[in-house]
Amino acid sequence: MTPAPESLALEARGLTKRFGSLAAVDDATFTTPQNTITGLLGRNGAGKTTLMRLITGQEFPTSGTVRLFGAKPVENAAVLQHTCFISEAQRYPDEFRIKHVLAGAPRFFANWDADFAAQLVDEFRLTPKQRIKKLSRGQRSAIGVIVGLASRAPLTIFDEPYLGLDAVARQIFYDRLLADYSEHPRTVILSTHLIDEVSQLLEHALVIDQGRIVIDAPVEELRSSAATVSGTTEAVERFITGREVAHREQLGGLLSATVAAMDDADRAAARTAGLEVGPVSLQQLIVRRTGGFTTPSTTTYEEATA
Amino acid sequence: MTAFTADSLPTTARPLGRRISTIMLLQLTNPMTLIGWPLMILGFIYVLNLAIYSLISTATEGATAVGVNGGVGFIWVYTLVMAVQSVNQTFPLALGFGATRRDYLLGTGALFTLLSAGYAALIATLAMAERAVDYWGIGLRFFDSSPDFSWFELFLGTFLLLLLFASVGGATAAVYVRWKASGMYVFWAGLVVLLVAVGFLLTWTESWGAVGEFFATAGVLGTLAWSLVISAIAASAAYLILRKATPTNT
Amino acid sequence: MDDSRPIFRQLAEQIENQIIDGSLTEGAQVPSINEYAAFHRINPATALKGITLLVDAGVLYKRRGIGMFVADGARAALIAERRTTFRDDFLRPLLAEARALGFSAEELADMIRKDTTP
Repeated sequence: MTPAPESLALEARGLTKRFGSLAAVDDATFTTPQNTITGLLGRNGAGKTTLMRLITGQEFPTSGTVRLFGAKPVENAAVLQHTCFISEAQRYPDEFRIKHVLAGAPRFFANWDADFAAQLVDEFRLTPKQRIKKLSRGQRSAIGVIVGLASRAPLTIFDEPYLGLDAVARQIFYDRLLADYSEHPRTVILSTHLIDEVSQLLEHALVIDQGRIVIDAPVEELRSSAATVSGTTEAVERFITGREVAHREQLGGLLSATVAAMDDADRAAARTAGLEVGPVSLQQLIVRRTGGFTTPSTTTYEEATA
Repeated sequence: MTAFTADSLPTTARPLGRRISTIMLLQLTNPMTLIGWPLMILGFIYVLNLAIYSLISTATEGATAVGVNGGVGFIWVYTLVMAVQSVNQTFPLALGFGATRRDYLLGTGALFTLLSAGYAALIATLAMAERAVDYWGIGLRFFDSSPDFSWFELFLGTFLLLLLFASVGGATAAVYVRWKASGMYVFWAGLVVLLVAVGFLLTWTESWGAVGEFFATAGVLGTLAWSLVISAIAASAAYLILRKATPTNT
Repeated sequence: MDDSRPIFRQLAEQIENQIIDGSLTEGAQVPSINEYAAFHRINPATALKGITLLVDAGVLYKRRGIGMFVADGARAALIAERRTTFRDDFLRPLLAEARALGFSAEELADMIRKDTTP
């Protein structure tokens, strides 16, 4: 056995989950290194929740495997004890007050920090006596955020945790997540479609579209690789021939194309060819990659689903 | 800085006893749900009956009621409701917190067995107290459903009955958790069809007499002992159904 | 931080700028990775990457268990480096725009002279 260069929190191979004829997760193969914040990004209904439920053994794969800390997660108490899955619409027992959640959760998590939980309750302007049933949508989301952060579970999954949270509360979440993660590194998966808001928190991006993993890369690599190239249609066409183009926009005789991979030499070549090279934000890149490719692989996909 | 590395993560699960108690305590986190409310409601029904019986006793100038009151049956039905609610409401939460289905089921089974035993002991003891005060002299036989029974017989009978209601409740909730509303329709329709079929079969084969005889020879406790079979089937069904259930929050 | 360029490069540039303008002096301790991460709301791994870039370039140096410091001679080295790229980074775009607007070299020189003499 050769030692792995870095330990993996997750390893999925050909992971597939079908509901009837719909493949919610379709042949997903990826790894997630330990102690990173990974963004699971994609549109609503892209398969994010199903993928996370497969990872935590809540869903049974149709085919393929997923390994969590080296073992299959389904019904495996030894690895599931290291997980905390905060679901977007987590229900709590009808008669629970906030204090009951905070009293029931610690027995599940070896690293639970009660002081941190209490501090977060204050910061989200909640009081332990409040009944969960009477809370607003956003306040209930805050409970999930509090449990997820205070659990310090070695794998903490937040599935769209911000429903109904206002901008201030979301910022509190992001700030506390970063600060606590810096002090207590752990593997965090943050599923979201608010890419702009979280992109700077992420180390790694996993982008899923119609059940398929379309991007699996370090975020900084994505930022430095994609670029838009614009100029006269003829010059741009000449430049992009043979390159992976995520998006193209035509205006009169001008063409602007988002090219997925552009290193420094490519950029210099484009400038020499009289083209303008512009930046692409992570959000733009993902929107373009999941809103319809112009590469052959997507054409095939669209034809297949047409 | 404490970093979790693959090496520093414990690779063995916590002891089974701890996992089970964690599930039990999650459902008891708010003790009102499974202990506080049922006791308060039972107490309220008792006080209400006491008031009515004294009124009747005064109005009829000392005539005492005969036979069992039946109000204690509330706790049987309520046990079913508690089992349904508890499973339905805590299963998705426990799984989100990293529990396995198996541990959840073992913990819930242990919890309801203990609760049934606790309620049975309480009711048997209160029945003894009723006997001691001669049903307040107004014939209020609320807890003492069988004056011939000893404390232990009352305890055992009540325990078996509560266990039956809890396991049927658990199985019903399991069907709902796994298949939602469509599962419920099929479940209740199936149950009705089954009961009608059994009734029809008994009528057709003219076996009602034999059934009556069976209950007569088995006696109350014997019949209740037979209920263990149904409890065991219901509990196993709950286990098998939830083993493949995927929790949803809708 | 803007989202369209690698964040670690932006962080490295910011620290370089602070060294060039003197707000971080040579020998001074720079904030920790976690402080940078919290301040800029960026992933600590990203902050580490930015700092590593500067450590590798000899601009910062690490003292085990104490922290990171600005290296002696870092300011001069950074200025020398920036001077070499000044023409590409600033002059070329300026000239391209000037050409499009029809400014002659003389006119440009005049403008520069006016704005640089107090």
